Amino acid sequence: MTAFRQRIVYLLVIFNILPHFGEVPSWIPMFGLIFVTWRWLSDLIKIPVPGRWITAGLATLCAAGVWAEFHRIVDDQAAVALLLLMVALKTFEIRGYRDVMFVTYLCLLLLMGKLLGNQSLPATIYMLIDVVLILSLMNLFHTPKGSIYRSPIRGVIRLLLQSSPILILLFVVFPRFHLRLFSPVRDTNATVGFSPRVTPGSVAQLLNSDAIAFRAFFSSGVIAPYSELYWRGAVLNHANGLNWDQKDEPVEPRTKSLLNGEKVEVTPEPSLSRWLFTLDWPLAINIEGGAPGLGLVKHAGLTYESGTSLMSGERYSFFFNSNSADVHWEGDPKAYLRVEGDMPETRKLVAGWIGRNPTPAQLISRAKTFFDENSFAYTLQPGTVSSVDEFLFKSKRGYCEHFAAATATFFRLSGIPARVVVGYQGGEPSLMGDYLIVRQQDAHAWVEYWSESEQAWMRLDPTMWIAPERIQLGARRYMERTAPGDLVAKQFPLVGRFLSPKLLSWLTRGQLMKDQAEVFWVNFLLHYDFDFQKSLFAKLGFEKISKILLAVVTLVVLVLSAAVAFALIRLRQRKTLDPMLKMYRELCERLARQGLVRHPGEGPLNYGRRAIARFPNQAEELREIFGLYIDARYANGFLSDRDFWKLRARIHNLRQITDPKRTA
Amino acid sequence: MRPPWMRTKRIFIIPTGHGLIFIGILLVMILTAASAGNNLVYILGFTLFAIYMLAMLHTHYNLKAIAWELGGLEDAFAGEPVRLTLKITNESGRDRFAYKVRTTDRKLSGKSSHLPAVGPSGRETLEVWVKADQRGEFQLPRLTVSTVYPMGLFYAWSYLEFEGKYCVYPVRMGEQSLQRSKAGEGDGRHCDTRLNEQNEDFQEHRRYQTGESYHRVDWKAYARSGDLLTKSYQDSVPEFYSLKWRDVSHLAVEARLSQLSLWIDQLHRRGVSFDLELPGTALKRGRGPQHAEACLRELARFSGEAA
Repeated sequence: MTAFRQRIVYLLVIFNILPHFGEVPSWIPMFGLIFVTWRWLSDLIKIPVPGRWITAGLATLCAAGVWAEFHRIVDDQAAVALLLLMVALKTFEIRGYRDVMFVTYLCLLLLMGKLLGNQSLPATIYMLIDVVLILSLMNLFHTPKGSIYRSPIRGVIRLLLQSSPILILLFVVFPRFHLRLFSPVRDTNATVGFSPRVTPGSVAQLLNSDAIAFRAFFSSGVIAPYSELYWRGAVLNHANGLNWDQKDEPVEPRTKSLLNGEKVEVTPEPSLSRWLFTLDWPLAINIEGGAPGLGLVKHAGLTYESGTSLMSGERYSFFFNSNSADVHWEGDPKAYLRVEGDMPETRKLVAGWIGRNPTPAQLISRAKTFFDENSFAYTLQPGTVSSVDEFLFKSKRGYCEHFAAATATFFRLSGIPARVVVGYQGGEPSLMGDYLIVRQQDAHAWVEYWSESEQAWMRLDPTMWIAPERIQLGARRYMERTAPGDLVAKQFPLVGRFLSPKLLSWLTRGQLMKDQAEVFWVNFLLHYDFDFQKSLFAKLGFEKISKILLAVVTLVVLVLSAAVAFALIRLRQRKTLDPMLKMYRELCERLARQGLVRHPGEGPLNYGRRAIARFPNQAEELREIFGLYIDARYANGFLSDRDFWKLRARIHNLRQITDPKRTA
Repeated sequence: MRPPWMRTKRIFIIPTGHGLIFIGILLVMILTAASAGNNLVYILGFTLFAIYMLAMLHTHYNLKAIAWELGGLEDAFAGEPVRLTLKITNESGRDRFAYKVRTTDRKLSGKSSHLPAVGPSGRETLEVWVKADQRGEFQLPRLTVSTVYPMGLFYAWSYLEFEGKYCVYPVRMGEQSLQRSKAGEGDGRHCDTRLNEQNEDFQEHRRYQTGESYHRVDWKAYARSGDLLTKSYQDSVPEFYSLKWRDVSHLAVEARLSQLSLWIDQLHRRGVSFDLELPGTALKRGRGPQHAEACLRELARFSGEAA
């Protein structure tokens, strides 16, 4: 095996290890890289390659490491980790063709492991590239050394293109059985994002992340005005200064049936949080695409949580109604009055506004005036503020969680039940406007207070008073307005500061296009199941489709495609036969029919001589024909089209050859 | 009627061991995809499956694209391989790779021959070696041509059956010294002379005659004058030898044939004329490759019955 070929194997292994950073604990791909590098270096500068026993020892150590990490081996993630280390170790003993084939098989399985937890557009592109590379390697090792006229990649891509009709047909008709041989992988590359509590700066820190939290699809196709979109995540009932969290939950509410609510489907990005974000007052929340046993927890604030964090491919849908009065709020709202924490000045302030029992409207206007008159500032970098007093009377700078926590505290101090809600606000429409992209930076906190007259919880967003643009424009565009440099620097860290605003708007557009393509593809991958197949075939006019029937169709497709491919290649094969050779064969066949068979290995010169001797009647003609052929094929190798057709015609006219022996 | 060229008529194809492993991996993928409901893994599996199907066709056509012709067939002494030359024509418009040719009967096959590549519409020759242990005249054995290109997932093979005979001469063995006979003298004057040039005295140059041994050509003279001259030696060497069956009668049949085979070979190399007398046949005095071949073929075909 040449050093060049060997290095291509190492490169392929490295290419297959790299995407596992972030999928499995990073020591695993790191060790993989170390093994391959070790092997590579040993080829370059004579470091000894570990022998069989050391390799076996390393393999055992790796298995032990994986066990220590996952506490089990029969798990897809542990299996992927183990597989990765084994591929890397296998490079120590690549000696011949067999070992290379073994490496390609392991790489294919590793690729499958990568795809299991990650159905996305980049993963699809990676898969295609990897398949091309793996197959090219297989092809390379079956091409004799020194005979490569061109890179095998071109040939493999051609092979892939030729095979694409079979692939597409199979994908469409192959029945989607549900086997459930093992439980699916839980994503671990989830982004840290939402948490069901509020501390000063906890929401503002998410501004730095333009990672997508979820995408929402509205059944009507029309997205509600962005300022109306409050994605409720968790309702926080326990107040301690500016820190709010969830404790000692009161009774669950009941909701009336909502017949005219709009259906929204949400596809969350993999995340560690289990919260299901819903608009206003949701009903009939339903998790789809996941394992059947995923639990669903309903909280007192009418928010929902799934039993485990959602993995890619799982999604949920709900109906929503923006009328809070449609909910039967059970339990005592007085549970939302407790205020903990040391805040003497705030207590004094609220006591000074109105005596006891103000109406919510009165309190709202007093609070709004307070913020206006004291020139509070809405800022993306609020700094560190530890108490309500410090925020209200010293720094006077804050982000939404500061204002929401302070306002809810005002409510509670003046005897009106109130709570803080955290979630997301707004979102960004997709390029085609058919869905909404909600990012981590859209994280938001606001207030809900109890209205005695309506017997319902009402939404109040103090941010609207301080920075209404934040709500109207959405976090992203608000930042573009207020701190464009920061945003650009964050999105395009290297070149951002040198780009013109126009170019930037194009780049943003490009990002949206990418997202549109991504969503289109991922949605297709997620939704193509047996139900989809049924509706697809129904559209084609086949109403009753069973899985067995589809399996039969699959077989038929296989046989047909094989036949078509066979016929196609056969057709081309005929065309590519050297026309000169074909013509000579015709001549030979004609003579053979007259009883003059060409001997094996007999060249045209000798055969021609024999033919001339055998058929004296045609001697002159035969001499010329053979002469022309020999000249064209062996001497100058060229015959003009016209001469070629002439020669062919002469051969065809040889029909009249008569065998003197037979006629005699 | 067999066409003069051999185009592989029937092509057989089976998955290789690697092809079976590949199918195993594919099944694992489909089962995993069905279990996880993961369409991307389905796509991966189907892609590999489609590639698998196409690899079968391409392996098939890799073999089919080639026309095989028997270019030449040479006799050999027993114990040495018989060389046959195949003329190979790529009838397609693209590069074709990686063929292996051997005799179908593995007992007969020497080392298998590899043809790395043939260019579009290109021609190549390939030597195939057939093991020859026993003397005799043989029909050219069936050949197996095979390829696993492009992916190694399938093994396609076909048989080539050429009309052709070759002789395996008796192994050259026995005494180096030769009983010689003067022309016309049947008395068999014995003179043990080693067949080497030291015993001969240079006499004169003669013009080279076609068929004479190159060993006798005076290459130095050729370099000087450009004329092909043979060195003629003094009469210490007889003008010709008579090889007779009865002269080696003290040996067993096969040993006799071996002895004669050795002598014929030596005489031929020396460019000395000789005749051969075997029970039932006699070859007249002559020299040159054709004469030697005729004699050796007689030895190869010799059947003990006639003795």
